[in-house]
Amino acid sequence: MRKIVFFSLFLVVIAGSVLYLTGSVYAPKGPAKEAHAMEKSIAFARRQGASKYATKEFTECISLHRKTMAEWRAQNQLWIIRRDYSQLSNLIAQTTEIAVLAGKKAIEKSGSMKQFIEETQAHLIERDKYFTEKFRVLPLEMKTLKNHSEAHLLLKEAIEASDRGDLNSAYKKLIVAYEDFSELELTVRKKLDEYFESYPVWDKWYKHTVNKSKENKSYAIVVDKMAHECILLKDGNVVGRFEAELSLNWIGHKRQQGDMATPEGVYKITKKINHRNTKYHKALLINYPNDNDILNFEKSIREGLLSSSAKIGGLIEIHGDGGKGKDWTEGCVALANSDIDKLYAMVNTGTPVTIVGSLIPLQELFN
Amino acid sequence: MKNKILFSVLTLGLLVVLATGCQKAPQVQMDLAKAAVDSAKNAEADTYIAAEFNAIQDSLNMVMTNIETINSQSFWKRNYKPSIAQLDAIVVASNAAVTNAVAKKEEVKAKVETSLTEAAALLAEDQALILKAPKGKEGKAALEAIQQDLTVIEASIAETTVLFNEGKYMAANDKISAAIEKANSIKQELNDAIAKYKKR
Repeated sequence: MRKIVFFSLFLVVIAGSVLYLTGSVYAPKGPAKEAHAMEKSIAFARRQGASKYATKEFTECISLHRKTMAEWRAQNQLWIIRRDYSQLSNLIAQTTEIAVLAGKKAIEKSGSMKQFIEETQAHLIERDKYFTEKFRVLPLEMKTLKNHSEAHLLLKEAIEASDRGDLNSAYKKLIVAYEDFSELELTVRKKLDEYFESYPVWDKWYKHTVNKSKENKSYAIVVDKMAHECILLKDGNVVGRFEAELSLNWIGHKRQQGDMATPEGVYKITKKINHRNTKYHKALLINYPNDNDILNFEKSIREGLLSSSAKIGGLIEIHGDGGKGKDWTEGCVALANSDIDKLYAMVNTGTPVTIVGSLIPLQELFN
Repeated sequence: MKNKILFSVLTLGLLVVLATGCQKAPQVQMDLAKAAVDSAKNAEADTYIAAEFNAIQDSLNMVMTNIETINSQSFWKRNYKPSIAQLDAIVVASNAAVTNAVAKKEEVKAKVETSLTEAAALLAEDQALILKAPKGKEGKAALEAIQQDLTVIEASIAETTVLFNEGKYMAANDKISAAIEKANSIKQELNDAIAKYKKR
């Protein structure tokens, strides 16, 4: 009896083992090759910075990868002949596909971002330089100067971020800096556009001065405020050019006393002042305000543009003590002492002095 | 008696084979490796030593795939030894990544701290130079413009301090480096103006 029991048990074990081994041989195999390809695709996407440059796709890929591994674990926990890897294969295919997409998108995006950053950086460095050289020398509002300093710092921060490979940060900063520079330029160009509305009048004054100098075979002085130049004409030809420094608020015509503006108009020398009578080496007093200035001043008071207590001012000169490299007078034109010496020697009382905003149109000055 | 012995040996042999077939994946090592990678991430290894961290993360994923591949196989083919060795290597690499990330973070942090001190000193120096700069009619407007620039630098230092306190050392470093460059250029400008004034 005992023999029969043992033998039966033996047979059960043998049958079970045979069944298990047969099942193992014919059971479905896990998609190992596909899974390895999937891991390689994810690693590739990660190396290309997909988490930063293809965030949406990479997040989806990671989520699918988790699902895939969970499905695989679940299947592997089943009895070997009950396993079904078809769902797993689908998940692996989907994960691989999105990983490849994330990798490609990361390459494209980081490549285009790098190109954009390089180009925009170079472009903004030029604009910053242009603004500093051409616009910061103009009498701008303090707010505009502050905005320029902020834009300049932002550009530098973007360059730092780009240098350490943080393209996203560099990109964001450059976008803001680009907008800031555009707004700054717009502010300055608006001011210049308004100022240059008088260009046809300046041109007329200049041509009239040249013609008169030619007709009378005499000297005439033209001050070009934009060029910061004092030009000496003889018989209608340019015979001397001197660097000029102007008033602190030189853009625009002088409207009243204390506005720190240099007047614009057709004037003449009313007095030559030698070094004993001026603190500015030598001076050529001009007839500001002329009749036109007085008319405009009175009109401005009538229209309420100026206070009724405003004064028109005077004592506008071309004098020495210049050469400081900046605009500093309260309305006069300052030349280096050696230059005022030359000019003083050649001109006389009555010599025409024409002061204009610019001899060159705006489009040619700032392009 | 002979049958009894044969039967016992065969049964025991089959039980051993079946028991081996039920061998479990190295769960302890897997958990340790995952925890080590998480520690590296918590130490911001993905920010400060991104390439190193990405390589570790990819290795972990590959080992996990290998283990599931092994789990899919028939019991007699299962061999977790190479995977266990790889998991152990991941733990070692992750621990090294934690050390490296912390060191790198400290390095950037120390650099920002030094830069903050340098920027504050430069700002004070610029403000002192403004007092020495020529203040005549010709200098007034330029000094006002420089004063504006200094307020921008001051604001930038304050913003850097906020980023520093938030632990955003890389962004803080970008900001303070730009501020230092600007403060240095103002220092140069003021020194030039003072030197030019003295010559006259």
